[in-house]
Parts: sequence; structure tokens; C-alpha cells
Amino acid sequence: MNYSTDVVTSRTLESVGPGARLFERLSRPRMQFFLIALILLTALWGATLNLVRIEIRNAEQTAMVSALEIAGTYEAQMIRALTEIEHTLDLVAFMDLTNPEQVLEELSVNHLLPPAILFAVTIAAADGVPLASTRPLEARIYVDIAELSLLPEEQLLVSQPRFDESNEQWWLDFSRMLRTPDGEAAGVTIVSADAEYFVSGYERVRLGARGMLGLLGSDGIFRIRRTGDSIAYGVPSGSDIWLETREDSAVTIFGHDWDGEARYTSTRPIFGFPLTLAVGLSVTEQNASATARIETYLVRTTVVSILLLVLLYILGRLRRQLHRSRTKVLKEQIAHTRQIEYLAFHDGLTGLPNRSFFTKLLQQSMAEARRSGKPMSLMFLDLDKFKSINDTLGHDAGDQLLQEVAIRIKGVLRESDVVARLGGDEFVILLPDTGDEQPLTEASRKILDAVRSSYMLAGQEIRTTISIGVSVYPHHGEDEETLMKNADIAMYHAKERGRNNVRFYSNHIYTSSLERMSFETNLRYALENDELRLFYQGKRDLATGKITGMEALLRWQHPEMGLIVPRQFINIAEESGLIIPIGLWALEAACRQSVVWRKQGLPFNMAVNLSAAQFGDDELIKDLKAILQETEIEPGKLELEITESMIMNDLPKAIGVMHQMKKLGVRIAIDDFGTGYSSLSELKDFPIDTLKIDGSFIADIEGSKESQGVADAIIAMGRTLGLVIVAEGVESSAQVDYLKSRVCDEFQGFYLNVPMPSSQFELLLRSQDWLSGAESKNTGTAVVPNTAAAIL
Amino acid sequence: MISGFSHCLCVLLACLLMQSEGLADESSHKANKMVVVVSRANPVQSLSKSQVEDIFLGKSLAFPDGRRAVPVDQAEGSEERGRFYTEVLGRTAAQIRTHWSRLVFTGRGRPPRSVGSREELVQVIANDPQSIGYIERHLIDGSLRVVLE
Repeated sequence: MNYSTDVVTSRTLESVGPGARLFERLSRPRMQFFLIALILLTALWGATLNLVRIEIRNAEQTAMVSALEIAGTYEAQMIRALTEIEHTLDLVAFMDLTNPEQVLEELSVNHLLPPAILFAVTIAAADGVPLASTRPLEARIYVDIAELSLLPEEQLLVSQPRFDESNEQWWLDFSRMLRTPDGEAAGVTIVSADAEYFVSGYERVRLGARGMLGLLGSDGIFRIRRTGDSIAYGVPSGSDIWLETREDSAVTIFGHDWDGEARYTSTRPIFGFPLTLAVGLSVTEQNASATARIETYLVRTTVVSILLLVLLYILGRLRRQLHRSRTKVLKEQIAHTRQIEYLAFHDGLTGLPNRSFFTKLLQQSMAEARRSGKPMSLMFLDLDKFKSINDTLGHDAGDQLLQEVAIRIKGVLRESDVVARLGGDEFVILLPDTGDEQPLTEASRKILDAVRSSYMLAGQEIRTTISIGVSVYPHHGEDEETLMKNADIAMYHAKERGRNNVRFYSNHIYTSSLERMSFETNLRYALENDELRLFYQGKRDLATGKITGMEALLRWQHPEMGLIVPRQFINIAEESGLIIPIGLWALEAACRQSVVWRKQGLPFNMAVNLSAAQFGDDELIKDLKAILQETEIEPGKLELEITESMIMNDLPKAIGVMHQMKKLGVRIAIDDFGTGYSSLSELKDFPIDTLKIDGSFIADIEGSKESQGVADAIIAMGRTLGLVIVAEGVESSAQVDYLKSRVCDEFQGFYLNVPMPSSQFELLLRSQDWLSGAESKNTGTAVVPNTAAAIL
Repeated sequence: MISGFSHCLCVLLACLLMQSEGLADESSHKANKMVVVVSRANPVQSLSKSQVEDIFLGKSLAFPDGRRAVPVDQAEGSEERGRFYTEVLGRTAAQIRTHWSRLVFTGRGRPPRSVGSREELVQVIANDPQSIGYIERHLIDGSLRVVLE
């Protein structure tokens, strides 16, 4: 149920537009996990990269601040060192230089010169010849006098560093011209400083192993440059960038030519001196800790990402499994529901729709027929004699037969036709768009043929037939109930007409079915309403022609339909169970009549027919005894007629019943003798008094030798057994003559013996008394001869 | 046997000779040995090598008893000066220069003042109870006290 809802929802969404379709796609479980993963990973990596950016920026800022701080410190130290040098130069110039050695000696003793360990002070003549020095005097000075003389008076000259082999030391010479008051060159003062002194502020803690401290001249040549422990002297900077004027707070990052190291670089020209200092911090070193942290971040984030993906994958799998198992359960439920539905609407045995389902289908089909204006038909089918197959071969075989029949019926029908089983051996077929007799007959014929072929059941070859009733919508009913009922009625008539047959419903059937129904109802009341009558047919002695006895015959005086003979209602009486009370009534009525007549001096034998149902009834003897006592009939005057087939049906029981009857003293006659198959040996054991030769032999007796032979044999046999022989259905004097010649005892039949009511028969009996010996041909004229009604 | 004995004797003699030579060398070495001295007026009796080092390398400005210490160097480039730093303090001249170079440049100290001659040194030390210097042992007179040999 949920499925369909889903489908509807998604369809609705799809119809809305591409945006909705995208949304629908994104809301699928797999996409959901993908999206969650995407969002989480984006957030994670976004945060990490942001952290990295902050880390880098912080590291850069720290490095830059550090570079500026170092540059500031370096600048202050440098200025102090240079100022001291300049101060020394000024001091010397201030002195009276007539005796230079003495000047230096004096200054030294008074500690006015910079430390000798790092500095040397030399005074030279204007031509460059050294005059005095705090160090051992050398042959020449290393200052370019020409260059120095070109400089303004206050400007000092910073020479290129020179190597002193005597103590393996690099010197940096700061020199100034000594001038006479009128401005002429009087000499040169030189302060030589240990070059390394200017980069001795290099601290590993702050500058690292690849930092840089340097001092450049305005000529762009590094007087000295230090990186770690390696110091370079007098090397060109190789780039104008070092001397470019920029803000003190500026830090630039660039790769340094000599070692390719990128450094945060700060350069500052030193005020008042032709020098620029440079500070560099290695980018790699300064960012090392940040880089390490960044690496940690990236590794962590990668690990977390992988864990996240694994987690989501596991969750996804779990979800999918859950979904699968849910779907499975749902499918099972649906299958179960379908199974139940199927069972509710189908016949378990044949798999055909059952009655309730068929009713629905029929209603639908009728509604469809109403809409389209086309007719539709309904067939009612019932297997003939299914009950006996079921009884003899067992229920399993019966079920098998029904299944096979169902298959066969379906096999010969159209796809659109619906076959259903209503239960038992009843089937119905719904044929849409069909109403004409011709195709319906054809279809019925196919069904009859298909069903009629033999079946193998329980190892036996079985044949069965089916009866079909057809009703057509809307002609035979406009509602489902009527249509079904009429098809049923039609089917019933098909059965009546000999089975293996098809009948269409018609108004005639309707009438006869009404007749049948009213018959059954009326027969029920016939007893109470005293509508039953007894007619009497005489039995005459063949020799004398005199009436010796009579047979009581049942008639129904129907208030509307007139006189009805038993043949017309005996089946209904049998089916409805009325046959027993009716039989008893007839017996009792005959006995009373016989007693009445005896009392009037007409003591004739009374013969009464027993029906098969009566004869088989266990209460028969009891009932018979009661009637005999009540009516006070002389038992020997009552003859009960039993047909040969009734005896043969259950021979031992029949013999027993006959003996019991004999004990009561009544006579027993075998009716319709010759049609059954009783053997002579059996006949001699029967406690009977009379044999009645079946009318069919008598009818043919004149022309057929065989009939004559049968009649002769019966008569001879009866004689032998000492029985009274009665010929039935005698209709001519020729037949009487023949029977006479064969020494038959009595005869019955329309010849002289027309059945008549008691009043007329009484007259006949009385007239016989008066006209003893005379043949009365006119007694029967009061009764309308009716062949059909005459013979029971 | 005789040859064995004589051989042994020879070895013994050689050993003795070598030792006497070593002794002679040691005595002259001992006389030239650079010792750290203070004025007799200075109550300090002796100093450890590291205490001397601290004073001469500008790490400490006082004697262990808290009185001010003023180190005095011999002349720059003199033999005594070189020997003191190498033999007593175990430093090369270059190391000392680098040391003072850094301290001076960064403004954290000044190297000891130096005197022109050993005679001047003796005089300076003797007259100044705060001063401390180094000199060859054989030049010590009663005005000085050796605090580290």
C-alpha cells in the first residue's frame, strides 16, 4: 500500500519540474549519504585549510615582527659601534699631531681608545705613509687616499675589507682626512675594526642557522655578511634590491642570490654613514614549527576524513541492509496479503474464482454490458452423477475429477470468459459480449464434448457428462440474482431432458418451473385438503370373465389442473419425501373401501401398489399392521403389489420383508413380472401368491413369438409354483382368447377393465352380481378412456 | 747472563737519564709557568680556574667574597697574553677575540684594560688590591700573591 503511495508522490514531484526532480534525486538514500559526506568533508577541510592559512599568516607575521625587531636592535648596536669609531677619529683629529706616537700613547693610557683586541688606530701622513699605530707599524696603509680626498670633510670612508695574514683576521678600515685649518690635507686617521665585530651580534636563537646579518656599502658590496657560522667578506650583493629605499617597517621576502634561500628581509640605511644594514630570517626556518603544525593538521584531517568516510560507508551499508530487510518484510507481508486475498476469492481446489469473487465479476460484467449495450451470458453447469462417482471412487478421485473438469472447461473458452466454481460440482461461466444462441450453443457443445472424454481416476477409466443451463443478460434477468437463478433453472431442465445437454432459459421453462414449484407445494397440502382419490380397476377371471378383485389406483384431484395421474407427480413425491404418507393413505383408503364393500356383500380382493420408497421403509411392517387392525380388513383379502425391480434392488432384505408381510396374512403379488432379471431359483423362495405378467408382453402377444414365449414360460412357471397368474394391459378379445388357451388365471387392462371411482365401480360390482355370467361392455363407458392415465 | 745483565743496566741507565732530563725541563717550565696573581693586600687566597675565567671573560665583575675584581691583561699580541689564554683558560686568541667582539658590539661588556709591559703589570697589581692579572712565576715578588697555578 505504501508502495503505491510512494509512486504517487514521486510522480507528483516529477511532474512539478526539473528542480523538484533534482531534489527527489538528492533525497534518495545513497545520495543523502553522499551529500552528508560531502558537507562534512567540505566543512572539515574548510576548517583545516582556514587553520593552515591562519597558521601561515601568524608564522609570517611573527617572522616579520621578529625580523623588524632584530633589524632595530642591529641598527642600534651598529650606530653605537660606528659612533664610537667616528668619535675616535674625531678625538685623534682634535689632538696636536706633531708627535703622533705620543698622541696614541696618551690616549691609550687614558683608555680613550677602543679595545685593542678589536680595534687598531693608525695615523698616517697625507701621502699615506703610516706615522703611528696601536699595532705594529706597517709599511703602508690600505686606504685609498685619492678616494678619501674626494669625500666631503665630515664624511668618513669605509674601505673594502682586507685580510691580515699576520693574525688571519679581516679588517675593516674607517678613515678620515686630517686637514689644516685652511682645509689642506694634513694626514689620515684610520680606525681599523675587526670585520667580524659587525656581525658578532648574530644569535642562533633568534636568527637560526640560516638567518643573515649583513653590512653593505653604498656601492652595493657587502663589507661583511654572516649566515650561521659562515662569514663572507667584500662580496657584491648582486641586486639593487638591497639599496632600495623603503620604510623601516617593510619586510620583503625574496630568495637571496648566493644561497637561494628565501628570507624575510629588512634593510636599513644607517643614518650618517655610507652603510646599509641587512637582516634576513630564513622562511623555511621561521615557518618550520608552523609547517610542522600544518602537517599535523593535514594528517589529522586526512585520518578523520578517512574515518568519516569509513563510518559513513558502514552506516550506509547498515542502512541499506536495514532497508533491504524492511523491504523484504514488506514484500512478504504483501505476498501474504495477496495469498490471503487469493484464498478469499478463489476456490482452493481448482484455483478458479469462488462464489463471492464471481459475484463481483458478474456485477462488473453486467455494469459493463449495461454501458456498452451489448449482452452477456451466464452458464450454469452441473456434473451429472457426480455424487455416485464421489461415493464409489472416493473424495480424492472426486476432487481430481473436478480439477480436470475445470481445466477442460477453461481450455475450450475464450480468454475473456470467466469460469468459477460455486461449490460441489457446480460451475458457472461468464461470457462477456455474448448473447446470441448460435455462439452460445457452440461454446456449450465444446464444453460438453470436452467434459465427455474419459478420465483416469484412481486407476480407472471414468466417463461423466455435464448439464448446462444458459441465461442471457438482459433478456433473462437484469439483476445478478435473477440471472443466476434462471441459469440454474435452465440447467435443471437440461438435466431433466436426459443430461449431457444444454438448455437456454425461456419463459416456457419459467412456467414449467413454476408448475414444478406449485406442484410440490400443492402436493404437500393435497393430503390435508383431501384431494387424493383412489380409482379401481377390475381383475377378471379369464375363464368366466367375472370380476374377481380390483387394483386400487391413486389419482390427484387438483383443484385447477384437474385429475392428475401418479406418473406426473410421483417424482416430486419421491423427492419431497411425500411418497410415504401418500402411500400409507392409499393403503388405508383401499382397506377401508374393501371393508365397506364386504359389509355390503361385495367381498372382493383388493390389490394395492407399494412404491419402492414404501417397500424400503423400515416402518412398513409396523404401519401395515396398524392399518390392518384399524380397518379390520381380512388380511387374506389384501394383496400388496411389488415390482420385480424393487425386489431385485436388495434381494435378501426384500425376501425378509416379504416373509414378515406374509406373517401378517396379506397376499403378495409381483408386478410387471418379466422385465426384471429374477431367476427361477430365486422366484421359488419368494413367499408370493400372484404373478402379474408385464403389459409389454401382452401388447405384442399376437405378433411376437418371443413375447408369446415369455408369457407362456411365465404362465407355466406360475402354474408349477402354484401361483395365480394375472395378465396386465389386456386390450383386446384376441389377447383374452390367447391367454385363455394358455390357461392364465386372470386379466387386467382396458379391455373391460377401465379404472373408475369407487361409486361407479361399486355399481359395476353390483351389476355383476345381478348379471351373473353376462359380459358387461358398457360399465366402462362412464369413464373417459385415457391411455396415459390408465396405466400405473 | 752477563750480556743480559748489561742490557738491563743499559735500560736502567737510559731511564734515569731521561728522568733527570725531564726534571730539568720541568723546573724551567715551572719557573716560566703562567700564574694568576693578586695584590698581597687582596684577602683572596686562591681562585679556581672557572672563577678566573669568569673574571677575565667579563662574566663576573667580583671576587667570590664580593669585592670588585678588575682584570688586567698584558699587551695585545704579547707572548704572556697568548700563553695565559691558551694554557690557563684553554682558549685560542681567535676565540677570545670573538668573545669580546660579541660582548662589545652588543654593549654587554668591555675587555680588560691592558698594560704595556710585565713590569707595569706587577706594579699595577701590587698597587691595586682590586686588580688581578697573570705573569710568569719567576717574576713574582713579595707584593703579589698567586691565587691559581
